[in-house]
Amino acid sequence: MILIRWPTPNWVLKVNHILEKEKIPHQIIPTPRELDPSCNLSILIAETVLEQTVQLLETNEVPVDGLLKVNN
Amino acid sequence: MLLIDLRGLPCPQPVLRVKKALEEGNNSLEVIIDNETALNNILRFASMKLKTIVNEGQGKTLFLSSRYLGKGDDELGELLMKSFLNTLLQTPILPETLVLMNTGVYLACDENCYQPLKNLEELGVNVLVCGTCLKYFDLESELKAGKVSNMFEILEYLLLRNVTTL
Repeated sequence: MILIRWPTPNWVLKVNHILEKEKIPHQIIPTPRELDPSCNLSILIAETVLEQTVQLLETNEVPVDGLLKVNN
Repeated sequence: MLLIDLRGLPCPQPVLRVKKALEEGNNSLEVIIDNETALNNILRFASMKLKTIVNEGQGKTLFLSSRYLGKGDDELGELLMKSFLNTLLQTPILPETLVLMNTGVYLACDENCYQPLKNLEELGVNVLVCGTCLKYFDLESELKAGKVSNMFEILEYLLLRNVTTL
């Protein structure tokens, strides 16, 4: 799984809408405290949809600079 | 979710590997097996494990009266609720019951948010969805998780259980 994070949950909101519209499966989760001690949200996607997701985010001018491969 | 391929392993390796994965802190497993004996052993083990988890949350009822978590901003509330349900799946102690009323019933019907409820059901959590609310929102045919309940059953849970309202 790939965890994507942003500085604020506002980006998560926008990305959630984009992924729902394109029917890309994803999960909204709290950002693990090891990555961000403040309270924030992240999105989990399968590796199989990473390329498609990154392209969509670039098309929609969503900055992508927080990608992390996670076990679950 | 951790994927474990157990094909080709002799008994009792499959169930031992599942046990080890759980002990290592993996709460969500996807298991591939190739024989019925391994399947039955793992199901029996999972059933015993599940009873332990649900028993620790015995009597705890979460009352979800809205599809949004918190008040003020509905878009944020929708994200927070999705995050909450996904996080609930990862916790070691699960509630006994979730009761969904008013717009909370959308959580069991919307294709973008029903899956965590479905997964909680499979883990033994009782998910009750208000039938009147489903009718009101014309969602009766859209139910994807939980079972349709009524005010009498829901009232019993709210009066007799340890309830937290979200």
